[in-house]
Amino acid sequence: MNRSRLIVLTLITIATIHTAVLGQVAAVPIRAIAVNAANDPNLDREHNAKRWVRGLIQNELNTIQAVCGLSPEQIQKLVDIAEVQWRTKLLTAIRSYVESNNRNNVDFEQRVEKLVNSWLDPILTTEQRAKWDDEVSSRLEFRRRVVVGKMVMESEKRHGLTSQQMKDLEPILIDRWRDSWWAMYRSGSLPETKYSWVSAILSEAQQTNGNERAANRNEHYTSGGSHELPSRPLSERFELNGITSVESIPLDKIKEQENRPEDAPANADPAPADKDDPNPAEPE
Amino acid sequence: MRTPEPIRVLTRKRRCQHFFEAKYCGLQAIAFFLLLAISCTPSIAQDKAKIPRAIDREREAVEDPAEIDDKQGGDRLIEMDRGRWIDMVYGQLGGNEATFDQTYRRRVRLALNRIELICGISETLREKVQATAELESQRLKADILTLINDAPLRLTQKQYSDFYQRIWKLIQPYQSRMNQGNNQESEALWRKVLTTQLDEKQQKQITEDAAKRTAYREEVQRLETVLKITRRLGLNRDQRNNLDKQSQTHPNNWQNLDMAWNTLQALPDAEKRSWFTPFQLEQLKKPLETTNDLQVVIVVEE
Repeated sequence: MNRSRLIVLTLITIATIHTAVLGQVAAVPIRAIAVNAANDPNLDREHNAKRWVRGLIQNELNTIQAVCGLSPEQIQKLVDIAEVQWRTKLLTAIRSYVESNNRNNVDFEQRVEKLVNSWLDPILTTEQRAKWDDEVSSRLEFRRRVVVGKMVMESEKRHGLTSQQMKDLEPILIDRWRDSWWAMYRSGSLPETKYSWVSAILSEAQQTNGNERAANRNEHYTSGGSHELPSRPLSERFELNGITSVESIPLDKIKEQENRPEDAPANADPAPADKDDPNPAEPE
Repeated sequence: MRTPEPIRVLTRKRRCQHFFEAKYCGLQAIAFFLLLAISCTPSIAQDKAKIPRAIDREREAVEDPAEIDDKQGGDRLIEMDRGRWIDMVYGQLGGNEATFDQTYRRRVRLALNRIELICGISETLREKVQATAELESQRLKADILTLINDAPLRLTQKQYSDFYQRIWKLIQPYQSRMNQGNNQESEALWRKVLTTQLDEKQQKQITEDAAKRTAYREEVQRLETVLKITRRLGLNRDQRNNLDKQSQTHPNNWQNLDMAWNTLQALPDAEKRSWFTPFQLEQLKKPLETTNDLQVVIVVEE
């Protein structure tokens, strides 16, 4: 029996020494995990993504109201659907953003527009629907001008086009327009202008010069800068013409972010930090 | 008569017990100390010398052989050789000598093709201009070699910076021409040769076409900014059209989002109220949000 105890003691000793040695190595990552959990950058990214998504939805709702002139009942239905569905339906987009380090990879705008459009079918009248479809097509037209313009600029550099050739190329690209081009543009890239499309307007000398694209295209990343996405605090309900989503629908908040100044309700007292804001909001 | 001892068939359990019997005690002790020694080795070794690992994050950085301490002067010296200097210079000009040659010739060809379409040039003139461009690039390469032959191979940080400035001064005009295209082209020798051979009408046609292309690029840039403001404020078609018109009056203020936002914020309140809803006006009072996220930048060179 004594020997058995000796064996057990031996094993315990070995285990203790191993733990002590390995523990020195293991302690660092464990501490690191603990620190990261406290300042998790993903929490910030998730928070930002949600604010942007809500901002885009609120802007879209405002535009619908301006174009279609919704009744109070229609507004109530719309804001309620928005409050219930915004997070669940856009979870993939939000998660994609949280997991990447590049905002360009996630096109919040187009996803929000598609989602909001799907809410409108049971709400809008036929007349309102026609107005909204007209608005959406005008928006797409404007976007097409920009993307096609960028593609023409790229071709100008690549093939040495004249101003007349640039004008001639525009309708060629518009004829070949695909909606996926807008998504490519929003993801930070540009659709490829195929040589076969451009060759028709090139001179013989320009055609001989070929299409050495790969050697002359350089993509790199830069960080920081202003961005154009609107944001809406998670604590503010969607609102149109003074009508908000019903109180029974719970708001989505990230617990760790609840005390952020930007999430404070609009009618709350400003946080002390706001006093030092270098760009204070002007009084009405 | 002594009865023979029965043959003992040891079961596994029994064999284990047997191991720990007195006659194995010495062996057990040796095994114990051996295990103890193995266990302690890492901790002892850690004190004396670090255990080599595949990735050792705490390892001291290995000094770049190109940078060594000058023990006498105490200044940090940089060791270079001709190959490193050449790599550095051509790295600024597109990668290597062959890439530079290829890109430079291509740029000249593209420009001549365009000019040929705009105002027409003779084949003789074209050949002459191309020969000038070729000479110009050969001269640059010769100048680079001459400069690098004079380059010190062991130099302080300040000497390195000074010499880099000399290199930069030499290659900067070519680098600008290759990256920025038309804007810097007029400084090139081949372009000057071409201009002297063209009549006034042809020169005017070239200038006008360049202005139209610049205007096209600025227009697209302006529309892109209007699109961004539309997204930020949630504008509808009428509001966007108004903004489009407004931005045409001062297109230079609409070449990027920050400038456009500041321009809009600075507009008279009455004007803003006539265009935007109260919600949008509130948004317009806020500064633009910034992000640390990565943004893709696409540069297409001729």
